[in-house]
Amino acid sequence: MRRAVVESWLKALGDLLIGNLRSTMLPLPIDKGLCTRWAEGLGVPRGGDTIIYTSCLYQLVPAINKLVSLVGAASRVPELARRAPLGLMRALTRPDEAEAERMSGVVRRIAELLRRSGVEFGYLYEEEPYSGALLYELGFEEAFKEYSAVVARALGRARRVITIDPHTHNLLRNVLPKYQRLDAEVVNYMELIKGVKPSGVVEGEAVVHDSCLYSRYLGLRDAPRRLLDEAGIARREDPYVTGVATSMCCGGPVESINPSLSNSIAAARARDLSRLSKTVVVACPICLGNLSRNAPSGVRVVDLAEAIS
Amino acid sequence: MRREDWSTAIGRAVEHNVPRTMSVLEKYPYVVDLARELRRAKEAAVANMDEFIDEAMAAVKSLGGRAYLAATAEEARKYVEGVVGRGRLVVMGKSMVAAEVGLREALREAGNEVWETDLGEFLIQLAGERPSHIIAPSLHMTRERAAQVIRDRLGIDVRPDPADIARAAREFLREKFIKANVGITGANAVAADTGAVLLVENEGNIRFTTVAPPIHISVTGVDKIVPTLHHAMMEVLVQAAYAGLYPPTYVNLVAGPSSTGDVEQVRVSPAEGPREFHLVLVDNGRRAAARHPVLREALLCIRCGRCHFHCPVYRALDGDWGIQPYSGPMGVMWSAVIHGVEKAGPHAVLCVHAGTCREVCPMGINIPEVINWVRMQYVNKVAGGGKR
Repeated sequence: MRRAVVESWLKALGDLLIGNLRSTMLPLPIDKGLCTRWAEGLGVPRGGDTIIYTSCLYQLVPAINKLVSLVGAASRVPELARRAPLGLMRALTRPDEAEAERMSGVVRRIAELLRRSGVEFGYLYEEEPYSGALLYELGFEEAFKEYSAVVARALGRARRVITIDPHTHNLLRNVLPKYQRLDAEVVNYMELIKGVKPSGVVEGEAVVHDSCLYSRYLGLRDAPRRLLDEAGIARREDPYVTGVATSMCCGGPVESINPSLSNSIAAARARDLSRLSKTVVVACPICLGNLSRNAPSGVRVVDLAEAIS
Repeated sequence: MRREDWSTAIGRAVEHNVPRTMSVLEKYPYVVDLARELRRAKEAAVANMDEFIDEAMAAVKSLGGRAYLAATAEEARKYVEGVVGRGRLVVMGKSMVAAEVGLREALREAGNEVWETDLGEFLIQLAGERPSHIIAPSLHMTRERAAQVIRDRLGIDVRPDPADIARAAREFLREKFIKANVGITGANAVAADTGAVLLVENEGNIRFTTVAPPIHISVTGVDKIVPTLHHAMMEVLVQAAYAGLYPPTYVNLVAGPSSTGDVEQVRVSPAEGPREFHLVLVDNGRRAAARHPVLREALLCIRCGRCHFHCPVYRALDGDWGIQPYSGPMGVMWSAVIHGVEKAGPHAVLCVHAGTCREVCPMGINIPEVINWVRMQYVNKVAGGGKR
């Protein structure tokens, strides 16, 4: 993309994200009910000392998938994207119902895994804000600085926050403390669950696709491996495909800036992984979305929470 | 370049380089210790850059050489043009800084015959293309394309085989080395205490370039200055190992013009090697970066090119990421050092912060963090950082 196009698109994208975050605490114009659907019927208490923090990221993936398919065109006419009425944006990013149900299911499974491991937790329901990770990762530092106060305030009453995805975990661990005070202890669900069994979704061997953040920024490279081992799910490793310094990204972080680059990174990654196994296990909603969209036929991408029970 | 060509070429390069470099580091673990020690020495050099520049220049002069500090690319070109003159035959040993300042084109426009002698540089010079990797500039060329380029441009019959391609280049360049008036190289390290310049290579072209012509000019960045010759030696060993070939075939040490004291111990110059040695130290944004709390990290880079092979973006963007001649993760940092945040920004926003580059960097540079800083400055400038 030419520099002028990149710059206009950055402005339009910033406006879209910031406008939505200010009005709904979500980066895209989706129905808040999609964020909380996973908790229906589970009787999770509101708030409390320990809370699960979904950041609505898994639940946003179907809308992100829709958006990414539009970015290529939208970035060429950023003014149109900028002026598109909210109703239109909502319609364009309306998630596919099957995908939305699958993502709610992943979050529900994580909640159940925590409960079975004896972890009690509450949830903020519609008061739960998106973390703002996307703003920070795209470079909108000023806007993030402002929005980070919303996140710190919402999480401020908890003593322990359980994250369920790497972007949110990284945001709370490595980024937010630079801008806000957060006294709560931040832990990831993979560190808390134990005694897991195979769910039956993975037949035979699987290969782990590492989240860059878990693996190289958060010291959680072994966490999904430990859980798969505990469940007795065999995994294939190759030092040049799944090593600390050789496991490549899924391309997710640039999906809203340059989707064709993002897709070609994802396709290359999916191809490399598929040489080891036709079942790829991920532990990140962005990896799940990006690799699924770009996997060669016959290759299945499943979330860790779908693989174990 | 066709997309399939790049995929094939980068696939083969990664497959060959990554395991080789890992096994070198496993077999010679002391290199990893040397890298840590070198980082500390380079930190000291960057923190006191102006003093080390003065010390290095004085040391070169005391050896009978000439030293020049070029503030800009233009000043560097002018100085070298002044030494070379017109109508000369010039051989060049691969230098990223020479490419950065546009030296080859400038010397050609001034009416000189100029040949790159590193095989990769030679191939892209013939093809009229730009380097795709800092130490393997023709990385994007498959063997089939390289052979085609030699056949088309030089009329030499050559098979699509790396050995035969090397043979054809060797036969063509041998005469150029012998007849050259001036040899131009870069430098891997410059020792401030002694004025010695170190160059590491495997082809032998740099050795020829530094010795055969009567004039040798080394053009390099001020970031290559290290406190002592001891550190400079470390740098070439570390660079070679992390680039994947250890031991390196040649390490060249140049300390002033050639001389002899064989007749009555009277030291006279020249002897067999060059009669003149010039060191051109290029600033071009480096001294400002040395004072910058984030960008100073970029100056620690020893240009081994390892980060490229571990970067998903570089691999997916056909090597075209960063402002030429710098590419890949280090290239995005260096684009900011030389061209500023606004020009480097469109490259920085494509970083996926995979963090693999940081894992493999011999200097332990937190490359994603430097790129993230560039991205934030850029987004702040063009989109107000999202502030409304």
